[in-house]
Amino acid sequence: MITRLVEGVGAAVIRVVERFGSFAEVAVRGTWTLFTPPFRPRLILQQLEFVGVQSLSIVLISGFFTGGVFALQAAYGFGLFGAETLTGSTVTLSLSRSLGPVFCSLMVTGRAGSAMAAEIGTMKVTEQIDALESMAVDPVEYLVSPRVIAGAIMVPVLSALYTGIGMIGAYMVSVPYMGIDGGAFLDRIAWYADPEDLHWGLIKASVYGWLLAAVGCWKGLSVRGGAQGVGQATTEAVVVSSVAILVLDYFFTDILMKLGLLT
Amino acid sequence: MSTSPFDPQDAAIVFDGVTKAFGAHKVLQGLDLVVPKGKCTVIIGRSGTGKSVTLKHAMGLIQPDAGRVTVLGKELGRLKREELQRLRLRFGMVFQNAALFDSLSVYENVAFPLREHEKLTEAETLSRVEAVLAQVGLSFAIQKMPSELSGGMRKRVGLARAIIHTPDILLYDEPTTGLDPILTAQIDELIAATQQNHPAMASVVVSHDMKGAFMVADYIYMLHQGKVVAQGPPEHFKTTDDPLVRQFVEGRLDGPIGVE
Ligand SMILES: Nc1ncnc2c1ncn2[C@@H]1O[C@H](COP(=O)(O)OP(=O)(O)OP(=O)(O)O)[C@@H](O)[C@H]1O
Ligand SMILES: [Mg+2]
Repeated sequence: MITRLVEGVGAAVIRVVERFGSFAEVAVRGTWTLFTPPFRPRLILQQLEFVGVQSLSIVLISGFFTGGVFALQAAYGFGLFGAETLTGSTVTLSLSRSLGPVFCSLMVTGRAGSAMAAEIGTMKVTEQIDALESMAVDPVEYLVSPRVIAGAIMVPVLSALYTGIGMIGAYMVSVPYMGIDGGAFLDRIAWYADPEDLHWGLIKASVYGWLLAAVGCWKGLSVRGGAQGVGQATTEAVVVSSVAILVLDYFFTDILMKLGLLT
Repeated sequence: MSTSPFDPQDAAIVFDGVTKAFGAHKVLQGLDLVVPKGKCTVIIGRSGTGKSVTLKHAMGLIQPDAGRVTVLGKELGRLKREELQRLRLRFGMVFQNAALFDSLSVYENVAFPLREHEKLTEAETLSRVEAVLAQVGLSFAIQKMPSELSGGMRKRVGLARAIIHTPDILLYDEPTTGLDPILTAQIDELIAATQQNHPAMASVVVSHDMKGAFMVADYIYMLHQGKVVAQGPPEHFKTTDDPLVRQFVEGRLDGPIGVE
């Protein structure tokens, strides 16, 4: 009984370690091969376009409404003790530190991370990955590295836009709609917001962008079976990336605060 | 069972007691096989006996559970990643389902091996691509995308992609399955001609089509239940009274090969 349990736990641990090992292999080699020839500017541009430009509309729409709804809630809360003008600075701080990078990464995971898993998974089940290998091309170098670099570059850009448009949304809700004084609203933002926040937010977004692309590619490359396997990999890519981003963001924030880099 | 007459020391590919299982499903069960240089070797066998798996072992796309695969004197299991990559450059492979890159046009698909491994000008690349597409009768399709092609056309694009860099070892996985009889004859002709034009090359053709096999083969291996059960030159397969071979070659239902 006990030995059974130990065996079961042991096997589970080995599975987790193996899984993580295969992810680490894809992620590390996918990043490392960016710095060794052949360089593939055309594929990288394609992915920058795919991750960045094509995510623009959902990022802008969701950013605007995130800022808006947050302003609604904050204005109500601060209104209870007459501090409505703090709404703008609160929304700005939250968006630039955490909400921008995290929400934006989650949106890009749903749009681009899932598509990466589906596309690479389909290539796997139709033997296109084997074909790459048979022509002495490393699939990780050819498929993964353009995607991870595109994630690491474009998600911070999108995150900055998300934060910016979120602030516009917050302004629109607070000032014209709820009648908070516009001058004071902007004044408080300038008072509290720190460029340092934005800068750490961008670094986090870059890490999450890299992560969601690496997870999407890894899930795609590990597809087994046919169409069903592709569907499953796509779902798993979204779930794993989303959970990982949320967990990572917690620890990131905690560590930055402990180090005194964020106040 | 006789052993092959070829010297393993100077062979293109040697399988030595290779076994491979996927989960509980044993596919290869001690496969011994020698593919000589300068000849066309045909592998026949029923669907699901592991012919495609055998070809993938030869390129190191699948690793054996036990046994050794040696290619051009190098044992695959001992090679480093870069060495294996370098060795793969000497192969061309026609996949059973073509395995074209569906995000690339026919032109880009066929040009792929050149773009990756040879420094050519665009004009040189174009003329090489046009030449092989003409050989497979697809010059008109050069700008099309794979999704716009029929199954037979895709297969011929796959063939063009495999021969464009004139490899030392050319693996064909059922190159004529799914083609009409005239195209089948044309592709068989192309396989034979490619072999003749490159006397040092080793071709390996996996097939169920006995007519084509007899036409292109210098030597035939028959696989059954993960092992070689018969081998010899085409004449042997035409004349032997081995019941396994007779049943397969003549496509009969009764015989030692169970039909589920
Ligand atoms: N990657 C894999 N995972 C699990 N099983 C596999 C895999 N590849 C092949 N098989 C199994 O191995 C067996 C042999 O497959 P293989 O594709 O080599 O057959 P084949 O001889 O080429 O048949 P056909 O003539 O139909 O192409 C099949 O039963 C197949 O289910
Ligand atoms: Mg097959």
